[in-house]
Amino acid sequence: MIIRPLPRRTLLRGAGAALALPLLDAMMPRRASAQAAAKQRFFAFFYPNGTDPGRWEPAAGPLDAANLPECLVDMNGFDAEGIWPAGDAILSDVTVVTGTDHSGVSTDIHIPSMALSAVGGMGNNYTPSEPTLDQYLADHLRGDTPFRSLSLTSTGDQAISQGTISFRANGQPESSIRSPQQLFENLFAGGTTDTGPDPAKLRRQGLLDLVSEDATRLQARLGQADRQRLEQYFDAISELETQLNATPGAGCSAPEDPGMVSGMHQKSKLFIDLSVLAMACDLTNVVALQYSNSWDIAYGDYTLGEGLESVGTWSDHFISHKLDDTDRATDLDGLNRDEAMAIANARVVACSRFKVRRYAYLINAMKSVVTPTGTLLDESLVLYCSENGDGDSHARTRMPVLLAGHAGGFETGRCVAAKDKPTAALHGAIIGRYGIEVSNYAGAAPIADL
Amino acid sequence: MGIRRARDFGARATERLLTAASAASLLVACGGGDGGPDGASFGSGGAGNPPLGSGGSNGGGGGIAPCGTGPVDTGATVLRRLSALEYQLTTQDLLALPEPPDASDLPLDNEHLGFRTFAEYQTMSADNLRAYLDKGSGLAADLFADSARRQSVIGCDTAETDCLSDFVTRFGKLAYRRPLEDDEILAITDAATEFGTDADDRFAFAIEAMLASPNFLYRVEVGDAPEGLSELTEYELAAKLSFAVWGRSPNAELLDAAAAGSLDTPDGLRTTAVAMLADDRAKAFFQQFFRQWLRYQTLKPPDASVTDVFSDMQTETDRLLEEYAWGTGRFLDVLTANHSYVTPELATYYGLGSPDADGRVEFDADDPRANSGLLTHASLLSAKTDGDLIAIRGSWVLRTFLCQEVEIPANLADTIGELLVGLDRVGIVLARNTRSECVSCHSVIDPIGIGFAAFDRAGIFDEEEDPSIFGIDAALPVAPAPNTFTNVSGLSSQLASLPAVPGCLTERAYLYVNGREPTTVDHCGVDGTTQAFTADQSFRSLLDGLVNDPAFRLRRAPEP
Repeated sequence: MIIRPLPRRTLLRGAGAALALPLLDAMMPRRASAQAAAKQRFFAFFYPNGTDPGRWEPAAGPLDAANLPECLVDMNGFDAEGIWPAGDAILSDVTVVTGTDHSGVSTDIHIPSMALSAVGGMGNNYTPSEPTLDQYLADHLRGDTPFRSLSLTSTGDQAISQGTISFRANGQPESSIRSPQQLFENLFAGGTTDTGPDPAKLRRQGLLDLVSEDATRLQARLGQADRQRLEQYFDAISELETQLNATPGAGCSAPEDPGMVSGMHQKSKLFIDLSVLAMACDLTNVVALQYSNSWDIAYGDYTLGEGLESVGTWSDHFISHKLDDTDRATDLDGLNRDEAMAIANARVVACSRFKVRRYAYLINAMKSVVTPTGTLLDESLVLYCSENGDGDSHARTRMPVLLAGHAGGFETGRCVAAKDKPTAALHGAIIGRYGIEVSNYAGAAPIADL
Repeated sequence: MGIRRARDFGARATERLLTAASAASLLVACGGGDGGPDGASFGSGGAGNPPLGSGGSNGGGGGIAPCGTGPVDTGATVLRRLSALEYQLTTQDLLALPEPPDASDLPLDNEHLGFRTFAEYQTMSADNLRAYLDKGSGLAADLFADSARRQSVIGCDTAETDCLSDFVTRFGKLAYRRPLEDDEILAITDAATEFGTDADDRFAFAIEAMLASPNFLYRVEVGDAPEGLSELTEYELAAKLSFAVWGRSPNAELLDAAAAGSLDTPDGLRTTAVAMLADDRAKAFFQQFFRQWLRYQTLKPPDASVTDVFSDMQTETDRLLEEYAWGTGRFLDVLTANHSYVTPELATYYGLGSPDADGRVEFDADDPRANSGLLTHASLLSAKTDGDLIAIRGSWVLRTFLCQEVEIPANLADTIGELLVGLDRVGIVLARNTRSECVSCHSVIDPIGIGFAAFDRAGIFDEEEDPSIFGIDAALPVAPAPNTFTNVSGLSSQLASLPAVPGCLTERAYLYVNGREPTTVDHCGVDGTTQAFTADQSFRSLLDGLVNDPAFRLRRAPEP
C-alpha cells in the first residue's frame, strides 16, 4: 500500500477529468455571498452489508494514524483506482463512533430502508414510523435552498425495503432519484444564470399556477384524510416553484450533462460529484445517498486484494458472509478452514477499505469547496452508515459509523465508544450539533461525549 | 477444523431463515398452529382494519360479520396516485398512441410483496410532479409532430375560435374522468391563451396542464360523502371499473354509458364488465398482474450470458398464463400443464428439443418438467436475490399460492446463530427442521423448497443434484396428508386442488385492483369471489366477482 497524500487541487483535477464535469469552476471560492454566517448541512452516505467490527473499531480516544484498524487505514490517504482519484488523508476530519445498537430499529436483516431511522417500522420492519434522520434535518437545515433535500439511490431495486433510505412521516417513502442524469437535469437543466424572464420558466410557472388552482378546487371536495394526502401535491408544487425561481450561488456554472451511465459505482460517483456541487451552489443542504441495495454491489472493475485474497467478481454480500453461508465466495471451499478464514477475513477488510475510500472521496470533495467561512466540510456533518453491523452475522449491533465535518463545532480525529447506546442516541447527538434542542430523541439521550 | 466463531455460523443460519422473510408483512403462524411463543402472528403494514388471514378464509371467525345480512361495507382507501403502468396506458389512449409511452423517466413505483400497486407507498413529490410535467410536455410535442394523431386527438382546427374550449371540454372529461365544470374549462383555456406562444402551443399547454393536474394524477373517489362510507358517483364507478379491468381511464363510451345509468344496477355493471373482460386490454393489464403476483417482472442474471433469454423466459410464462386465464379450461390447470411455449433460444437454455412453429413443446413423461406447468418455468425458479434457495422457494410457494408470510421473531434473529455452530449445509437444514426454535416454520417451508432442489439458480434441472441428501421428503405440509411428492408435478397437482389457493389468488387480485390488501371488513366480497372462482375455476369469474362485489360501488375514506 502506497500512501501518497495529494494536494487538494490534484484531487479536484482528477475528479473533473474522470467525470468530464468542470467541477473546478464551480468549486472555486467564488460564491460572492454577502452573508458570512456559516451554513449548516448534512450528508448521509449509506453502504450495505456492514463490516467486520473487530477489524474496524479503533480504541476510544484520539485516532492514531500509525495504529488504525485494518479497515480504516485508508483514512491516511489512498491511491487512484478505476474511476476514483487518489485521496488525501481524512483522519483529522472524521470521528469514528463504535458500538451503536441498531437492533431495536431494524428487527430484520438487510433492510436498508431502516438504516437512517432511529425508531422501528409502521407495524412492520421496513417503513420507518418517524422521518429518517435526513428528512428530519431537511426541515431544519433547508434555509432558502431550492431543494429541500436530495434523496439519491444507485440501485434500481424497487422493493420498498431495499430501494430507498429516506422516509417522511408515517412511513411515506421520499421519492428517490436513481439516475445521475436526472439529478443533473433537476439541478442544472433550468440554467444557472439569472438573465431575466425565461419563456420556459414563465410557462412552467403558468402550469404550476393552473394545477395549483385545480388542486385547490379539488381539495374543497375531499375529506380530511384525502386533503392530508393531497398536501404532498401542494408541497410538490411549492418545491418546484422554489426551484424554478432559484438563482444558484454566484460563480456556479452548470457542469456538463453526465449522460446515461450504468453501474452503481459510476452512478454513486456522479451522485457525489453532483450533490457536492449542489451544496457548493447552495441548491441544497441535505443529501442522502444510497450506494447500493444489499445484494448487487460487486467489485469486478476493481482490484481489491491479490491472489486468493482477491475479492474478484464476488458480490459484497457474498464476501460479507465469509465461509459458512450459501451466499459466500465458494472458491475457498476446498481450503483448510484456518487458511480459508484468513482469506475470507482479508476479503472483508478489502471491501471495507473500499467503502471507506468512497466515503473519503466524498469527504475530500466537500473539503475542497471553499466557502466564506471555511469549507463545505466545515459546515457539515457527513454520516457513514450501513444496515447491518457485522456483515457476517447480520447483527445490527456494533454498527459501522463514521461522522465527519465540523458543523456545530463537532470535534473530529477521535473515536467515541457508544457502549451499546441505540441509534437514537447517535442521531440525537447529530441533531444537537445543529443547535436543535434535543434532550431525548426517539426515546434516548444523545451520546454525551459525541 | 480450525477456529469457528459462533458468528460465522450464525450468519449462515440466520440468512437461511431470514431471506425468506425479509419482505414479510402478512404473518402466519407456522406449522398450522396458532403462533408460537416467539410471537409469529398475523399483522400488516396498513392502517385500519386487520388484513384477512391466509388464503381461503371463509369468514366466520371471531369478530367478522356474517355476509348478506347487514349493510355492505368496505375497507378504507387512500387517495390513490396513478401507477406508472396506469399512467402509460391512460396517456396511450388519450393521445392515440400506438403503444404505451415509455415511462422510464418517471420515478419508479415502490414495490412490496412483488406488487407495484400499494396505494399507500405511491407518494407524490417534487420529483414526481416534475417528471409528469416533463413527460406531458414531451407527449404534447410528439402529438403536434404527428399530423394524423394530432387531427384525431384535437378534432378541430386549432385556429378556430371555439376549438380550444371544445377540446378542453372533451379531452378534459377523459383526463379527469368526469365532465369539467365551466370554471375549470375557463381556467385552462385562459391560461393556455396567456402562455401558449401560438395556436398549437395553446393546445399543448392545455394538454400539459391536464396531464399534471391532480384530477388526472389521482384517482379521485368522493362519492356522495367526503368522510366515512360513500357510494361512488356514476363517473367514479366507471373509472374504478376501467382501472380495475383495463388498468386505464374509462373511454368516452364508458363514461357516457355510466352517465346514462348503465352501471346503476348490478346487472348493468355485470354486462359492462363481461364485455370489458373479453377485450385484449384486460389481457394486457392482467399480464402485469401475473408478473407481479408470481414475481417474474424483474429477473436477475446468474451470469451475464443468460440475460438474452430473459424476455423469452417471461414470455413463456405470460403465454401459458394467458392460455389458461382467458381460455375455456380450469385456470389452476396452469399449474399442471404438460406443455409450454419457448423460443428456440429458450429451448436450448432448457436443453429441450425444437419447439413447433408456435413455440409449443410437450414434455415426455420422464422429463423433470412434465405436468408441472408454471412451477418449473425458469422465470419463476431462477434466483431473484441472494439466499438459500430451499427457504426462498418454499416461502415463495407459501406466499404466492397461500398468501402466507413467514417472519422470524426479532429476538430470535440475533441468537439463533449459536444454535447451529459447526454444521454443514445439510446439517443446517436438518437442524432447522428439528430444533424447537426453528421447526415450526422450517418444517412448513423446507419440504417444499427441497422439492425444487434439483433445479439450479438459473432455473435449470441439474441431474447431478441429489435432494435426498437432506433426508427430508419433499412435501407440501399445508396440504392434507399424504402430501409428499417426488417430482414437481406432485406439488403442482396438490396446489391445483388445495382449497386455500383460490382464496389467496383472489386476495392478490384484490390487491392489484384495489391498491391495498383486503381487510376483515372486505371478507364478504373476497369470500364470495373465491367461492365463484372455486366453483367454475375460471379466472374471468374471479375478476367478475371482484368488480361485481356490492362493495365495489363503495369507498371508505381513511380516518384522518
